[in-house]
Amino acid sequence: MDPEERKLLDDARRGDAGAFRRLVEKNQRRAYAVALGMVHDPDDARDICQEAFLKVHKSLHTFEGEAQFFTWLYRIVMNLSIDHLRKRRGDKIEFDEALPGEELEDDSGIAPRRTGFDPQRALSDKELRGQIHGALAALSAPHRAVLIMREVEGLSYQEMADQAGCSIGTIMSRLFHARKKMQKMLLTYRDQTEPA
Amino acid sequence: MGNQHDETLQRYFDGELAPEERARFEAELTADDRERLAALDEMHALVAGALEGAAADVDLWGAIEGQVRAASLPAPGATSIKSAARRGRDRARGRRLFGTGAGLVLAAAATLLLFMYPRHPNHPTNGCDIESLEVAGAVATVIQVADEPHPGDGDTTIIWTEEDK
Repeated sequence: MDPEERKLLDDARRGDAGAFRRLVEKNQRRAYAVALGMVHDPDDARDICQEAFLKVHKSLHTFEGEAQFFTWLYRIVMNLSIDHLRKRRGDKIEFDEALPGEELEDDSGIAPRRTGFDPQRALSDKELRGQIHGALAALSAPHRAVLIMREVEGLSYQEMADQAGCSIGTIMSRLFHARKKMQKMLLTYRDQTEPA
Repeated sequence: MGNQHDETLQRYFDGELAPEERARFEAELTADDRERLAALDEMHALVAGALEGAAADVDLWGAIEGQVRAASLPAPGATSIKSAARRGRDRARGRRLFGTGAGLVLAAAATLLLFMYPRHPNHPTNGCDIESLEVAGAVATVIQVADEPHPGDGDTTIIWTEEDK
C-alpha cells in the first residue's frame, strides 16, 4: 500500500472525515466502473458504490492494511453487484459453477480480427460506449464478472478464482468465452455501422 | 474452452505463463497469433475505456458525506482530552448535585422532625430544636419565624440551604 493511502486510512480510522473523503475521491471511479460494468444501470451502480463506501467506513477499524485498499473495496462492490443482480432478476445466478452449454459452443478461438475502433473513442464517444455496455449486458453475469475483473481490474486468475469461488480452470474457460462473445458482438456492430 | 493453443495464447496474453514457458511460446508465435493478441489487446482497451469513460464524472462524496460525518469516529487523541475535560466537569457537576440533593434531603428531614415532634418543655431552650446541622456541599441557615397571624400555633422553622461556592 502506498504511504499516502496508508496515512489516509490511519487518519480516517481516527475519525478524520476529510481523509475518508480523499479515499473516496481516489477510488470512486474504479469502483463505479466495476459496478456499472456489472449492473449496467448508472443509478444502481451509484447506489452500490455509495453503499460500498459506507460499509468500508463502518469497517475501517477491521481493515488490516496488508491488502490494497481498492482490493478490499472492489470485493465489496463486486459482492453488492452480484446481490443486486440476484435481487433484480429474481433468478439464481451461480458464480461458482460451470455454465451450462459452454462446452457446446463452437470451439473456435478469438478471431484474428480487430474491430478497428479507436480505444480513445470508447472514453468519449457515447454511442460506442453504449454499444460496449450493450455487449457487456448481453453476457451472462458470470462471464461479465470475469471479464470486468480481468479487463478493468487486471486481477490474476488466482485472484479471480478466489473472488468467484471457483477453480482457475473455470475462470479461464469463462474468460475465453466472454472474450469471444464480446469480440463477436463488437465485430457485428462494426460491420453494421462502419462497412469497409 | 478452445484448444490447447488457444488456452496458452490466453494465458500468454494475461501474463499467466511461467517465464520459461512464456519465452518458448513467444519464440513460436505465428502471424495469426499476433493478430489474435492484437484483437485481445484492442478489446481490453475498449472495455476498460468504455467503463472508465462512463465513470469519469462520478462524484459520490456528496451523497455519503452526511452519513460519514455522522458516523465518524472521534480521533483518539481528541477523545482523551475531550473526555478528560468532560469527565472533570461531570464530576464537579455530580458533586454539586449530590451536595445540593443531600442538603435538601436533610433539610426536609429536619423540617419533618419539627412537625412530628413539637417543642417539648424539656428540650433545650435556645429557641430552636435544631442545635446544629451539617450539609455536604452547602451552607444551611436555620431561621425561626413567629407565626403572627396564628398565635399559639408555635413558630415556623425554615432551613435555608445554599450551595457552597
